[in-house]
Amino acid sequence: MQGTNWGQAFQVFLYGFSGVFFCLLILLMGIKIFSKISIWAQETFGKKKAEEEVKIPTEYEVMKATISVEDKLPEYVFMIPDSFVEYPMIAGDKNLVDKKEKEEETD
Amino acid sequence: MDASLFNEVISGMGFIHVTYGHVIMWGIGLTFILLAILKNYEPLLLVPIGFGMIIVNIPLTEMMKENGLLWVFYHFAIDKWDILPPLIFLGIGALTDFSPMIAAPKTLLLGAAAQLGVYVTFFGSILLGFNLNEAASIGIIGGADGPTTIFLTSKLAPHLLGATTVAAYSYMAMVPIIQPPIMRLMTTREERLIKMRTLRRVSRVERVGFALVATLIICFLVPAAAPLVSMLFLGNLFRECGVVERLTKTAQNELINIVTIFLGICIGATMPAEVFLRPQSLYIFFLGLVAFSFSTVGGIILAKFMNLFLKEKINPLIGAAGVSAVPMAARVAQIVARGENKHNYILMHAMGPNVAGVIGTAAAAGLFLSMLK
Repeated sequence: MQGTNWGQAFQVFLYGFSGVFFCLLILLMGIKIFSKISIWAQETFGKKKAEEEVKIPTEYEVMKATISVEDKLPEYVFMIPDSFVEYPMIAGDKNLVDKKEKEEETD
Repeated sequence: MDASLFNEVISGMGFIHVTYGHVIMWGIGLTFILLAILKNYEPLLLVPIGFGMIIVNIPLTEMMKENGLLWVFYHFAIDKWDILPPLIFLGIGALTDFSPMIAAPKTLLLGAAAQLGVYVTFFGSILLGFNLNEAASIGIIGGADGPTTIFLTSKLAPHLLGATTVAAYSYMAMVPIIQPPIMRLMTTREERLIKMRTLRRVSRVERVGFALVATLIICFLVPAAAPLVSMLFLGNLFRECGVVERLTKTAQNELINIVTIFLGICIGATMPAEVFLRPQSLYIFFLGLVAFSFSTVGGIILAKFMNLFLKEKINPLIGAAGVSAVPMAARVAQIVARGENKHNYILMHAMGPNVAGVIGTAAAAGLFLSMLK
């Protein structure tokens, strides 16, 4: 206790505690700036790329593809699972779904 | 019959030299092992620490004498090169998801505020007669980060290594007991009921970039913390970059397990009776508790203060998670919040200050080193 350098102790406390805050504050700003840049970059460049790469097929293209496959495969292949009923157009054959639903209602 | 040879054989046996101190240390070592086995308190560390304590207190084994087995482990892994804590940080980085902190960077400030206990205890230790280096090593217990405590103590006050490490890991295991009463005392029911909006999703680009940006910033500002921080974020980069799955798995499992074995046994080996059984050790345990309590208080107070200015209020309980006992402190915040409203989920929000606390404690250790070494 007698040999304690209180001046140095207070300095260590002051510089230490404020230093931790300063470090993490700079890190906070670094993260914010980096996040903004990366989000902006993803929105600007990522979206265009995504649009180019994942081209959503039109309804006509889906129907055409289904019909061409239907010619080569037996009918049971097109028995559409329940999970696809919500998306009949993506599944390919809306008429088949409607027909199946009517049959079930009649039964 | 040669009586002198017989006497030599007998006097060469350990049990002749057993003291009360040795017996007490065996008891403490055995207690650690039993706590690990029966109560599951930090078993990965308490088992090797407890065993190390027992074998180092068997007379005449000379395991900690120069060139003894434990001396070699301790000398090269901690005392001379100090490589075990950074390697543990490599594993922690590979295990940690920093997304909650990246999504809500303001939680970094809570991690800084939770270092309050470190500095309060620093002064408390000086008042109890420890010198500045010893006081810093004891204060860092408040960061609730075992590897950082070992890293700093081995450089500033190696003779206190056993006591500070055991105090740090013991209190980390006791976070669910120590923190909740303080959290309830420091917050009103209305504050504990605050619900926070779900965090945004953080992209992989952000997570990878964060590891690099954070390494640069912290290493530039506190170069003395570079061994810990750089390894932490290297491990995290392994995890987030997604192209080094083998390295990630090794850092998360085999490497951290091997390091933990050596770390535990080395810590146990630093506790021979003549070093550990002193009033200093009791003071260190008491001061460790003070450090943990003030760290919890610091995080909560800053969260309440931030609420004065924020439009979207934060639940002050997440401030208590600023002590870096990952993920225990965040879980405790969640448990206390759910105690008031079982539909309140603040776990992910609490993970933000929790991982910020790891960085904050490493920065505090680096600052101590740069000022006191």
